[in-house]
Parts: sequence; structure tokens; C-alpha cells
Amino acid sequence: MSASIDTNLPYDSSLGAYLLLAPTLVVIGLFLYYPTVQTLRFSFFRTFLFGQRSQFVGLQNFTTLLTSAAYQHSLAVTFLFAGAVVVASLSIGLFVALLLHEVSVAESAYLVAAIWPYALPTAVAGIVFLFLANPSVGVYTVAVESTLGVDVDWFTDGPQALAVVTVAAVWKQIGFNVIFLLAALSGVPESLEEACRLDGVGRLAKLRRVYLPLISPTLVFLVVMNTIFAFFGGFAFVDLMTQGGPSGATNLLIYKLFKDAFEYGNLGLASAQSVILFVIVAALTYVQLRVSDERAHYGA
Amino acid sequence: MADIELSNVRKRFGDVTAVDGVDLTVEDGEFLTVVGPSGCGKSTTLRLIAGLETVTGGRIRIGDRDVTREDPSDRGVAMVFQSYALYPHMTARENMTFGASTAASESVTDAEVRERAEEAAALLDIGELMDRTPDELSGGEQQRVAIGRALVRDPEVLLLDEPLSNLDAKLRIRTRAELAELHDEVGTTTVYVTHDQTEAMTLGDRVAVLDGGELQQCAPPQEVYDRPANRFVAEFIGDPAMNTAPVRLDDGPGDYGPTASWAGGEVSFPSAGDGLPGGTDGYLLGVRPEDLVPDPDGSIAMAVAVTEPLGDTLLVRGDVGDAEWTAKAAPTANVTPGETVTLRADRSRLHLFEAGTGEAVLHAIDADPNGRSESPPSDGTELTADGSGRD
Amino acid sequence: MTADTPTRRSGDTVANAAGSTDATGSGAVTGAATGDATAVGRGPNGLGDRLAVGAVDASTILTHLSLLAVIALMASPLVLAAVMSTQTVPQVYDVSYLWIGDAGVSKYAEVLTDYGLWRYMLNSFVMSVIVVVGKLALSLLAAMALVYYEFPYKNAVFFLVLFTLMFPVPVRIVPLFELMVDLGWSNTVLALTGPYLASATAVFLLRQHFQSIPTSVVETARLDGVGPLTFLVRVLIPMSRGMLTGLAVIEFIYAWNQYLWPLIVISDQSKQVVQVGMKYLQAVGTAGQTDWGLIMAGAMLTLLPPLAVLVAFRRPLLDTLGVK
Repeated sequence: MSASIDTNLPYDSSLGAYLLLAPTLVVIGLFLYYPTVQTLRFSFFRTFLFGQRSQFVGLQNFTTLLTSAAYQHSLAVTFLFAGAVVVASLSIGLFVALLLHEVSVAESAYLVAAIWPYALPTAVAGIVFLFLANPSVGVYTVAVESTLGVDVDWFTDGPQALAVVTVAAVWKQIGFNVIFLLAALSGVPESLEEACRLDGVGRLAKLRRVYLPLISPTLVFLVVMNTIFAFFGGFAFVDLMTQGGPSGATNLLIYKLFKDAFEYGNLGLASAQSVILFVIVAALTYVQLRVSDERAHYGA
Repeated sequence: MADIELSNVRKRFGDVTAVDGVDLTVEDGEFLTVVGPSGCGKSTTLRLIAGLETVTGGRIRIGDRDVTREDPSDRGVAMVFQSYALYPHMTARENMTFGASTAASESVTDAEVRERAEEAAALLDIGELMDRTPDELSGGEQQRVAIGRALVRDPEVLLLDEPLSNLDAKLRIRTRAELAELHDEVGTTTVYVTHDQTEAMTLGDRVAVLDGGELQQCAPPQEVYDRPANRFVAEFIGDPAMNTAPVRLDDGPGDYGPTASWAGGEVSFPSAGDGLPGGTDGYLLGVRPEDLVPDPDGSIAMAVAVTEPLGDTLLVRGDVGDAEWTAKAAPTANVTPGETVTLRADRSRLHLFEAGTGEAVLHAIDADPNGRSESPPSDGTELTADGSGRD
Repeated sequence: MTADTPTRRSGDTVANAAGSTDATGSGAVTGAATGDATAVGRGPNGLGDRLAVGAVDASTILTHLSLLAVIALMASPLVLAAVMSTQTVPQVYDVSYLWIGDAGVSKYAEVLTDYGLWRYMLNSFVMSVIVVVGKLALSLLAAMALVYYEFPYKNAVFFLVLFTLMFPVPVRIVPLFELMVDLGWSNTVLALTGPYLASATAVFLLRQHFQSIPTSVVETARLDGVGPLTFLVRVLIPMSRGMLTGLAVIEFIYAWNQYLWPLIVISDQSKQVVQVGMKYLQAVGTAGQTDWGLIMAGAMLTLLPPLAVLVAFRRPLLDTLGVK
């Protein structure tokens, strides 16, 4: 078949291997690596007339951004949004997953009822909440106003707007978390559960001392995935529900990037924002790898 | 069918030498078993013959072709794996025909392959299982399909890697007998790797014993048992293992061979311990447990530690000198732990090894033309005491 | 002997876990003496076992009630939206009216035809199918090369593919958009699907799956001289059916839910996907009153395909993601 067989793999034709890899390599080269490198290049230029002209400005885009109050505000809003989404969707997801893990009747019905939000499109989640929490016709608005006695008007109230967007995002994200947490929980050996029962370990102690340590690698993974979702997936909610308002209260980084690039045609500045987003993702991934390395001995 | 010849075959994985200069010939139609402890290189040797690993040095010939650098599929070999390696999504029939009809080196029609599959199925008695997938088959049935698949390939050489070790004990013994029958019928040159010495002894025309990547001995089963080439083979083959003790060798009286003595006792070899220098240390005595019998007139003293009744025999374990020895006594033997018994060794079944190299120096079976002589030598030369007098 | 270390490793994990059980097991005897009767049951905690020994205990009921409550809470926006999708505009604006309305399914028909939702859905469907098939095909080939071929820079290539996880669309959106303009792909299905065709996730999972196929099966194929194409079609694909189905579900849902990229690269409304179509519906209404019933009908229809795929193929999906 070929010249050298110094391998215990079935096929050793380099040409064959690269033929198989070619489609993938072309796609990632053209649509992933090339634009990423271009983003970095663009971020050092100032563009005029919707990219018709450009001028090298070094790090000026970055200094402009980091010193701009609007960008700082956007950064703060994004971190707040991300933090809330991560904490809420993970806690609810963990609660649901633990309950599901415990039941043994009608498992598959429960399962479907608990994971379906995984299929929920962001745009659908956004528009449903835009309606149900609508200040004038929303069912939820009426319910909240009558029970809590607050005046709901998130079309003008910034914190309320951010809260509604967050709730929609959490709703969408729960299914994803439930699935991965269930996978992690099902990896916990049944013998441990039985040992806990024999030892009479209480529910909370069992959760804190047995389950949480054993599924901690998955928790770390989910923290990162949820943060990335919050940073990038928040776009549709904002675009459909608030357009960044009121007065920038929901102006997530990704939405600001979109506006700067495709409405104001400020491609250089937008690219610099992409670079900053990349740095954030990279840092998060790095942290995840480091933390999960340290946790590796749990083996779950 | 074809013979196989391995010349000075070596295989290194990084710093580890798995196979170290093995020379081995398998005759056309022979059933060769390869046995050794785990990590001895037996599986690697098989995989080298198959071509699944490539030699670091040396040559491999199958029939009249040097296959050292050939692809596995061009070597005319078929292999049965320990895990059977059946394709889970194919029926037994598809499993048996898939390889043979795609094998690049063969030029047979699909009809011929199907016919061969039916023949193999009949031979293996799995005709009614042919439309089932592996998950619908028991372990034993899967194993038959795997063997059938190999037969359908009509290989020049059949390679089996621990094919019985996933079966339960009863099925293993039955399948072992069937494998022997099968080989008689098809007569394909077969190399069979196992860690189980019983399998190796019962199945093989010859047994190759490997240790540390080196071939220790390759001979017919009885030969390996009676005339182990070295201490390793002597202790590896046979269960319980052969007893050994470092001994001092002295010239024996009259016609007798040399006398071996150590803290546990003294035995003398039959005649013709030619050229063995008397008055020297550096030898190792070997006695198989079944060649030791409790006998008040015996010359070996054992402080009994444990007795293990096996039904047909009584295993007696204890200290003989500094060594732990085992004797196979009659089930009725009156031996209790804690006491010291005297044992008599069948002098025609003694073995002597060089202590340093472990090489066999003398097998008493060769020295005594009368073979397995049960008659004890005249007492005068042997110690009949309990051994305490030797301190 | 050489390549089946992954399985060994997982075996070790189990062994370790079992080891730690032994450590905690020392208190077992006393625990059993004081423990409740259900612990004597044969199964782990099946309801049947509990019934067999007398009663369903309070904690089991609590678990079921909590679960039902959370599930109801999670489903409530959807249920409300579904109910509202049957209401006429005046009914929607009557906030106290929370029952099936007089519009029936007419809003569904209206949104599909009059507002062209069927066209957006068709566009989404075409995009999703191309992305799923393309991703799986490309990833199968790449994973096969990475697992069964020996070639130079193998690890570098794998790393290169994996590293693309760091570049979600927003990180490269401006140049990617310009590239589409330069290629003349704006407003085409090429622009919608091209950037999604390679998948680090699919390559990674398939590579892992291939590595879990026993070495001996691969070696059997090797002894038979099975060629790469036959090996792919007759062995790898059939042996990866579950994994491929699971991946197809994940990628279908992912593709169907895309919003930002279609919004940017498609300006011709008739070529737009259904997620962005939601945005077009927002303004629908008469006399200053938004026709929310119609919008909710659109939302229901938009959710339907990914939801149906999820429900139908939940088993392979869960298997792929490691839920036992």
C-alpha cells in the first residue's frame, strides 16, 4: 500500500490525510483564521466613510474605548448581566438536575419537561418576554404590579430593563445547564450514593461534600460556557427587546460592537471591541483550563 | 498454508524492549503455543507476525515470502482477538464475509466468500446464529463467530491472541478441546498466545516459552516439562511450581552421580553427572512437587506450614532449609501443620541448574537409562535424620 | 496493548471511586441499624421498592412536587404565549383574559402566509440542513484523518481546529462581513452557511468517539486490508450512528437559532431566516395596537422545529452529551 509501515495506524498516507482534512482546513482558514487576523489588523486603523478609507492609528482605538464612559458603562452592564445569568441559570439548573437525578418514576417525561429550553431560540425567548413583561399588556407585568406593588415600566427604567433581559436569558439557558449537570451527576458512582444512605448523610451534606466536589469540573465548564453565552448570546435579547436602552442600561458589549460597526460604520473601533471580547474569552478559557487541571484528581 | 520463520526479531517501544532477538520457526500446519507471564512479549511477537507492529530489527518470513516490511493485509494472516473484535453493527454472517470480500490481496468472488462462511458456520456449529448481531450472542458464540471470520479468510497463518480468556472456566475447557479438533480438521499453521500454561500444554504441538522478550525454550509440551531449558521455564511451567534450592555439589559414592546438599537435606543424582566438578557451590536443585513423597526414610526435612487438600492430592507447603517448598502427597497422607516431615525425592526426576545463569545442567531423566525409577538408593549415603543434625 | 489506554483510564477512575467508598463504608453497619426501612429495598431508590416496604416517604413526595413546580415555572411563558396566540387583538389587550381566544389557529395561518413566515422558515430550514450535513461530513473526514492516519504535524492540525473555539462570530464579524462582500456572497445561502461548516466541537467529539472504538476492531479491518473509504462507510459511520445523531441535533438547534450573523449578512428580506423574521413581526398591528397574538403564533412556529428535533432525538442527544 505504501512505503513505510512504521506505525500501528491503518493508514499512513500523508496525502490521504490532508485530502480528508482539506475541507475543514479551508473553511477554518478562510472563515475563522483569516477574519480573526484581519480583526486584529483593523483594530489598529481608523476607518472613514464606512471603510472606504483607513488610517493607521496604533493603539488609539483601544485607548479611546477604555477611556470612554459609554464603553466603560457597557463593560459594567455586560459583567453585571453575565454574572446574574451565570449565577441564576446555574443554580436553577443545578436544582432541577438534582431533583431529576433523584426521581425514578416517569423519568423520561420529567427529562423532556426539564431540558426542552435547550431548543429555545434566543429570538423566541426574547420576543415572548417582550410581550409577557410588556409594561402595558404583559401578563407578568400585571402580576408583578399587583403582588409586589411596584410600577413596572422597563421601557424607561434601566435596572428593570436589565432585569427583564436577564430573566429571558436565564430562561433560555437553563436547559443547557440541566443537560450537562445531569451528565455529571450520572457520572457519580451509585456506590457513593448508597454509602451516604447507609451512613445517614443528610441531603445538604451529601450535596456539599459529595456531589459538588465530584461535579466541580463540569461546574467550572458551565461557568465558562454560560459567561460566553452571556457575552455573545445576549445580542438577540437586546436587539429585540431594548435596543440597548433605556439610556444604555442594557447596552451589552456585543450590541455596542454591532452598532458601531454596522450602523455607524466605525469598523476600526468595532474591531478593537472584537479584540477585547476575544481577550475576555481567552482569559476565561485559560482560567477554566487551570481550574479544571487542579480539580482533575476528582476524576468525575 | 505456510511455515513461519522469525530471525533475530526485535521490537522496542521507546526505551522498552518488548521482544529481544527471538529466533523461532513454526512448521507448516503446526499448532504452536506461545506462553509467558504478562509483559513477556508474547502478544507483541504475535502482532509482529501479523504486521500490526513493525519490527525494530530482524526478519520475518511466511512461506517463501519475506514479509518483514509488508502490510498486515498482504501477509495472508488472520487473527482472533481476545475481545473478538466483532463489528457490533453487522450480523454474524456479515462479520464473517466483510473482511474476506474486501481483503485487498484476495481475488475471490462474493459467492465464494458466502459459501465459505456457510462452511465455517457448519464447522463451528453456528449455522442458526448467522443472522444475529454480536449483542444477541453469548460470549462463547461471539468467539465462534470470530474464529469463523478468521477461517473464511482462508489464511496461510492463523493467529490467536488469548482467545479463551474472556470465557468462563467450563466453557474455556470445552472450547479448548474444540479448538484442538478444529485444528486437526483444517490444519492451518496456527500461533496461539496465552498466559495459561494448561492451554499452552494441551493445545500446542510445541510450546514456546517467553520471558523478558526472549525465547526461553521452544519444544513439545512434555519436553518442556521434563527438560526445562532453564530455571525460568522450570518454575513457570507446572503448577504448583518446581521447588528449587541453592545446593553444594559433591562427588557421590560409587556409581552414583553427584550429591547435592543444602540446609534442608541432601539428594544424590543417578549416575552420569558427567564432568560436574565436585566440591563446589553455585548450583540450584530443582524438584517438582509431585516428585516428593512423605517417607520416614526420606532425606529432605520439611517444617510443614500449611496443608491444602485438593481432593485427589494433598498439597503440603513448608520450609525446607531457607526455601519454601511444596509437595504433592497422597490425599490420605497423615501430615499436620507444625510438624516436621521427611520427604523422599524421586531421584530420576531431579533437575540441576547453574545458579548464576539459571541454565539447566542436568536432568536426571536423561542420566538414568531406566527412566522413572522409583527404587530408592541404598540408604547408607543419604541422611535420614530430620535435618537438625546439619546445623 | 498500546492504544486502549483511554478505557483503562476510565476504569481506574471507577476503581478510585470504589476505593473511597470503602473508606466511607466503615460506618455502614451502624448506619443500617438506625436507617429507615427504605434502605433495605433492593433497587437504588425506585418507587416500587418503597411501595413494597409500605409507604412513599415524605421526601419523595417533596421531590416530585418541587420538580413539578420548577417545570411549571419553566413552561409557563411558553404556555401563556401559546394561549395568547389564539387571541384576537382586543382579547390580548384585555390583560385579565387568560384563556383560549376567538382567533383559534387563524393567527398561525395569517403569520405564515400574509407575513411570509413560511418563507423565513424555509430559509432557516435550508440553512440548518446544509450546516448540519456539511459540518458532519467535514468533521467525519477530519476526525478520521486525525485518528486513523499517520501524517506530519498531526497534533498541530488538531490544535489548529480546536483553537477555533476561541473565535466565535463576534470576534471576527467585521472582516467576515467584508469577506462576504468581496466574495459577492451577500444575501446568499453561501454566506449563511459557509462560516459554520467547520466545527471544532464535532471534530473533537468524533475524534474521541473513534478513539473509543476498540483497537482490535480497527486492527481486524487492517488485517483485512479494508480501504479508507470502505472503512468510513461500512465501519466508522455505522459504529458512530448514535454520536452522529446526537451531533446532528446539537448542530441543527445551533444553526436554527442563529440571529446575529444572518441579521448582518442578509439584507434581502425574502432571503432572511426565521429568527430575524421575528424582528420583522414586531411592528405588526393596526391602529397603534400590536397584534401580539400573531407575533406569539410566529414565535411558536419558530420554536417548533428545534423542539420537535430535541424531543424526537433526545436519547442520542443525551448519550452524546454523556447523560446515562
